[in-house]
Amino acid sequence: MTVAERLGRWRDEGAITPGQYDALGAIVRKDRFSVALEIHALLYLGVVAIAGGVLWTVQTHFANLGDTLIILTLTLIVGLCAWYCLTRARPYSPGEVESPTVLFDYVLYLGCLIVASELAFIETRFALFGDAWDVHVLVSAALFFVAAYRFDNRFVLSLALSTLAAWFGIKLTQFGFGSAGSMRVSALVYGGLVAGMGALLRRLDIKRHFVDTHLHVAATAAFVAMTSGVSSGEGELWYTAGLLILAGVSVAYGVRHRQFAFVAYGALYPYAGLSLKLIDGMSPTGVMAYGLLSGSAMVLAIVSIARRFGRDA
Amino acid sequence: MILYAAEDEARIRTAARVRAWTQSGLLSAAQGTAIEAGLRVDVTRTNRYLRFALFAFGTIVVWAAVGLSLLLLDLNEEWALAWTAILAGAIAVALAAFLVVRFRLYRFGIEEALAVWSVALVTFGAGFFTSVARHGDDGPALVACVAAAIASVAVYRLFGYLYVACAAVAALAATAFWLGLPRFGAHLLSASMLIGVFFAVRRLRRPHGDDFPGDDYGVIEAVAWVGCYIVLNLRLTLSVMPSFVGIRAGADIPAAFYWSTYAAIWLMPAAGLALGLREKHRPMIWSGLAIAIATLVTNKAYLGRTPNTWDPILFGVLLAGTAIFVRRWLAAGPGGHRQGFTVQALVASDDKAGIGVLSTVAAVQQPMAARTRTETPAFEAGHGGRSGGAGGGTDF
Repeated sequence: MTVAERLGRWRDEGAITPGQYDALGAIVRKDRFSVALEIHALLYLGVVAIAGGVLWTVQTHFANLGDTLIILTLTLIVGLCAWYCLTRARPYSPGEVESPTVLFDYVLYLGCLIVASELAFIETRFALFGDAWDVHVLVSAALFFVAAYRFDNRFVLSLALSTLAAWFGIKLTQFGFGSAGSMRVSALVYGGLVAGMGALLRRLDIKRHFVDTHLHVAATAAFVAMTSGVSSGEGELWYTAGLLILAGVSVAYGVRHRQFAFVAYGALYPYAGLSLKLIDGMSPTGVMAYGLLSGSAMVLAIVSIARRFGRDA
Repeated sequence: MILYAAEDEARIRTAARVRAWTQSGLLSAAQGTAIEAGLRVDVTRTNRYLRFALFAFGTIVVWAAVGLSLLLLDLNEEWALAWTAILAGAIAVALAAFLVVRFRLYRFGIEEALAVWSVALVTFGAGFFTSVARHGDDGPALVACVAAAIASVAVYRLFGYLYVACAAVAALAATAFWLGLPRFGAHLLSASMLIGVFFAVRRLRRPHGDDFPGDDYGVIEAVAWVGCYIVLNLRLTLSVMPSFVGIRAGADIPAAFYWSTYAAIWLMPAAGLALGLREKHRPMIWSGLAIAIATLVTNKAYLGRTPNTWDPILFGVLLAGTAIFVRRWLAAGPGGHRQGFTVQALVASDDKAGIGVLSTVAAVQQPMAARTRTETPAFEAGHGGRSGGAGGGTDF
């Protein structure tokens, strides 16, 4: 039976109204065919290409173009983007706000990408912040967070989170910590900060639809740091304990909130971390036997969770 | 699909559409629940994350089992390794079928791992077995490609994994490169095979439209079209996949063939988009857009011209401008649509999911890459001094 035939049957049985039948029938028969997603994809690619081209041009030709022309041009683009967004933005709301136009999100994203280029260019050429040169990255991250929350934009939120991560990396090298261990600490601090922001947002009921993005980024940073620490040779016991605790918290959160990505994180990362530690020095036969037994055990454990909690497809 | 009734597949896919309609407000929650209850199928499913985790651990189990067997049986002979791989592949697919029949698993991850790796094991075994008999020619690679194509089709027919069907198309196309033909002949034969698949699957899809199995065939059709384009776009294959198709000397491409492919890479996006738009066939529309972008990106390389730094800007303006123009043109039509095409999100949840993917990509591409401070504070073209963000770093 085709979907169109099923729709007819549901209408006849009274499961849907004639109005719903008409609306859904138009979609199923393709009398109405949306190209909204294709438009979004083209806009996104277009903005990324423009920003990349601007950066490449400035990098390559800054000596010929001159600082003034570059800064004026970039400022003009940012100004136009800001003008477009500020004149069309809907009033702020702590809840989810639909974009006023299809273009809006992409103009804002373009503006933010160009701001990042311009701040980096100014700092590189004029050293405004002196020894604290990395401040421009933190300023960019702060600006992106403000823009993301003010205009309810997921693209800019992603940009803000990745820029903040970059600042953590830079800050660390500024202080002279070059080791993988200090990078792990930095990643853990970053993960904790981002998760804390997510928790605070939830508590304050501000942009709750952003919370998941915060938690996914935080979980990934923390799990990668902990997992790599298990076999690092320094503080392994602490990292192992931390990894197991984090896994427990992640699985419990995932099951409770039906966010099964966190269950997957809680299974895959600790398995990888602990396995690398355990198989170190094992014979090839031992490694294979370990893989067979531990893999089977993990399959059984996840099947158990899937059967009890995660049936939804 | 042999292991699942066609009616069950159709019900599962209809239920997914009902869920999307409910999430988009086209049906009330109560209506959605009631209709979905009527579409329920007796299979064991799980969500995509646990499915992925089960696939990952299933992969570990399969490879550990194969490795342990080889070690315990102390198999060192090449022919024994080849037969073991083929046997392991047969056992894996049998086990996957058993899990489906016995426990009614459907896209559960573990049976997918067994089925998918059975293809890899059979492919490796067949190729390795041939290499034992024939050293130093393309025979093993050819046999491996043929085995991969046949095994993938078999797994698709049994379990219905669409990505395995796409792998079968790729494996079939790859066989042409191992027949000892001159390079242009290999490209031509590969493209011909893909066009053959395209028309064959298109013929299969027509009676079903978007209903199962037409939806699967539609994707395979689009994949074959994109594959044909990739094989014909010599700049793409030479630059991106030189190790794959650059096995033989690159000088045996006649100029006539080169410029014919240049014409083809401009005609194929137009034809693909026209077909997709005429039939409102989304996978073909996406494939048409993707290869149109690939043509624009590789055009200068084809013509042997040096790219300019502002090319991406022009490219971006073209993409965004096209999107804006199309959007406005459609919105200005009577009732906000033309020929049924509209820019309104009809099933909002589908579009939200797609935009969610884009925003994830936005997070992955970190424009402010973490940079270390350099020794030289002075700023010179192409060298730079202070570190910076926005991907500029010391080279800003």
